[in-house]
Amino acid sequence: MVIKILEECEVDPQNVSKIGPDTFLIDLDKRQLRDVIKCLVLDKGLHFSTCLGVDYSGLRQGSMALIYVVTRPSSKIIIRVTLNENESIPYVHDILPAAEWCELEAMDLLGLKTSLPVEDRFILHWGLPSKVQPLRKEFKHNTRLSNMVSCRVSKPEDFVEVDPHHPFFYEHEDFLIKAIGNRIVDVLYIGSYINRGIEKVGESRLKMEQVPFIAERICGICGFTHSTAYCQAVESALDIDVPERARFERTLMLELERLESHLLLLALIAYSVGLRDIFLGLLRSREIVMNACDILVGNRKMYGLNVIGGVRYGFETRQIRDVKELIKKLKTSLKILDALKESQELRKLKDVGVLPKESAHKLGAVGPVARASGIDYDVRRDLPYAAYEEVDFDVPIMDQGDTYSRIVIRCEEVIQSVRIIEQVLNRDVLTKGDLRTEYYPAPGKIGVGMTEAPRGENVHLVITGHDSRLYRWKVRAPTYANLAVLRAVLVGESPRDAPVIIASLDPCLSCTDRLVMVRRT
Amino acid sequence: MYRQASDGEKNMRGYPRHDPDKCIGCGACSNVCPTDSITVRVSGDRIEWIHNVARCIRCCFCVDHCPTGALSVGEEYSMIADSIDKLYILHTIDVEKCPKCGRTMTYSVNVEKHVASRTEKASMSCERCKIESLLRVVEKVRRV
Ligand code: SF4
Ligand code: SF4
Repeated sequence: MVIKILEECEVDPQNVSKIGPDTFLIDLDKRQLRDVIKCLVLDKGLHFSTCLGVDYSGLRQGSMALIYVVTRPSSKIIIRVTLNENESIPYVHDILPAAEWCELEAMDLLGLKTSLPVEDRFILHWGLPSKVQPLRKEFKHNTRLSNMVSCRVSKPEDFVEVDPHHPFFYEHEDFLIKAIGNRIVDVLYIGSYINRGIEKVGESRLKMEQVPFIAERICGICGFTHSTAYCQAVESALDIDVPERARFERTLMLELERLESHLLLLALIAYSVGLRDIFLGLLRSREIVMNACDILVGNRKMYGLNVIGGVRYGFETRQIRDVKELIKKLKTSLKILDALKESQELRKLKDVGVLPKESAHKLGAVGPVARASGIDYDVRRDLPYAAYEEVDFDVPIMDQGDTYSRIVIRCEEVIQSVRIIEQVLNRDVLTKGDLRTEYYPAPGKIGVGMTEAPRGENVHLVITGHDSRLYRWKVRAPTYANLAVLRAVLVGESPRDAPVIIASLDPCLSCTDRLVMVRRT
Repeated sequence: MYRQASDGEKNMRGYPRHDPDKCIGCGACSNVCPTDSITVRVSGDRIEWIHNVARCIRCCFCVDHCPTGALSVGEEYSMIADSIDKLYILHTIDVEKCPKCGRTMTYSVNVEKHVASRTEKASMSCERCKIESLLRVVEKVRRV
């Protein structure tokens, strides 16, 4: 099936190799890239996940590579374009806006040049000298940059700042909203204030087996999905089978995490539209979920459960019994979601911040944002991982694409999550069986791990290196893809609605910027 | 191995608890720690086991890898302290002396507790003594 699509897009079958049960690697020529991506994503309707630049000089002879990841139901396609040093790189973001951020990031972090006039810095601070190219292999991870930075921050004068930081969650980012009268005409997002180069740390300082714990700390709300995606990436690269018990444990924790994340967002939205009682009710339900996590893994967040090849510890019957009780309690208290859905305050958000299906596809939106615009894509169902193949659940889809449906779709997902959790808790395999598989590291293997994080598709790509270390690790958090739709949803709306529209995208900034700092003593 | 209680704070996975009476100073914990919060070093005739609680992320990966059970999952979670020094936990362990020449070795006195057989005990001597005895054997063989 994939081969047929690739043939229609004029990819030479000799360049296609199958590197995993559902992963294909294509080595493309630089000149072909644009046509192939255009054909796959725009004509055939495949989903564009991410792209990245790799400095291959440590594994092969001095060359760079650009890697694009494209997915379709049941297969992942990795497109690799090898380039010579200092060769100008191909780009696709003029025809496919979804690729804009990742291409600019690759140029910034590796110092790649292109024929387009783009600014030097995208992720890194504007004041850094151009010789700072952190993802090159000759750049040491502990280089001190403090005396290289010269601060020059200037902003265009005709912009009104809603807040120096996130207007909703008080995080480190700027939304510059340009308005004429009561209508937004342009939005500028300035982020990556807290990028500290976790990928570099993972590639240089840490061993492969230590990374799951650092990956888990990329995000304070959906950390477990990151460590799962990372482990899956390595498992797919090294061809490791995960025991059934570990897969079910992962599923259980992933769903508890989704509940926790969605309930927090819904509570905050209720608060922002003035429904204080529902806010309290939802946070109270969230507390039940947190207690369930506490019983299972000894912590409310940061489960510390994942290792490559499985999980670290098993659950006992006693714990499962306690959690079952809690889930029963949770189901009663979730009735409050109906009150939220029916409320007048939320109904006012109908037809506000509409994201049409075509732009959602072109901009690469994922998760509830995409599904509220009618894109039928859920990684749990389309590229099954963990134990999602063995449980029943529905993927709610809505067509309106407005703020109201983005919120309601999360209410539906909460119900589905509870359904999955109940099925998993009833399995005996949760309390007996093997926990993990042994594995042997091998250099030069590529693997992609994908999970459906609460905010959407989460992609980790790894290339293994020598010494059981990683050669390249790329994290593409869901918000990274979803922030691209900002302009599409905000332009034409009233600035007063901006906070709740932005909140309905559920942006998570530490994911996007990948904040983690590890320092040697 | 993981503490599993039923209610509230008692259930927390805190930072690891270290028992200096069991530790052999092997340094496995400091090798596997993802954030480098543990340092194990020999200074003089003592082994210093230093834990920076502020840097620890409470993953308890070190507990999984300690060969002697000197580390266990602790209940302490908070790291509030009125001075930075209090964020460091420092344990010193006496270093084993070489039974042959009396020089200090690189592991602690607790190793003896974990050594099972008499031959293993007999083979405990410092690097230099080992090389010397090896050279003696070589010399003997050569003479024969
Ligand atoms: S015995 Fe345990 S606590 Fe002591 S150094 Fe080795 S791993 Fe660390
Ligand atoms: S709990 Fe984790 S971070 Fe803390 S010392 Fe142990 S291995 Fe290091």
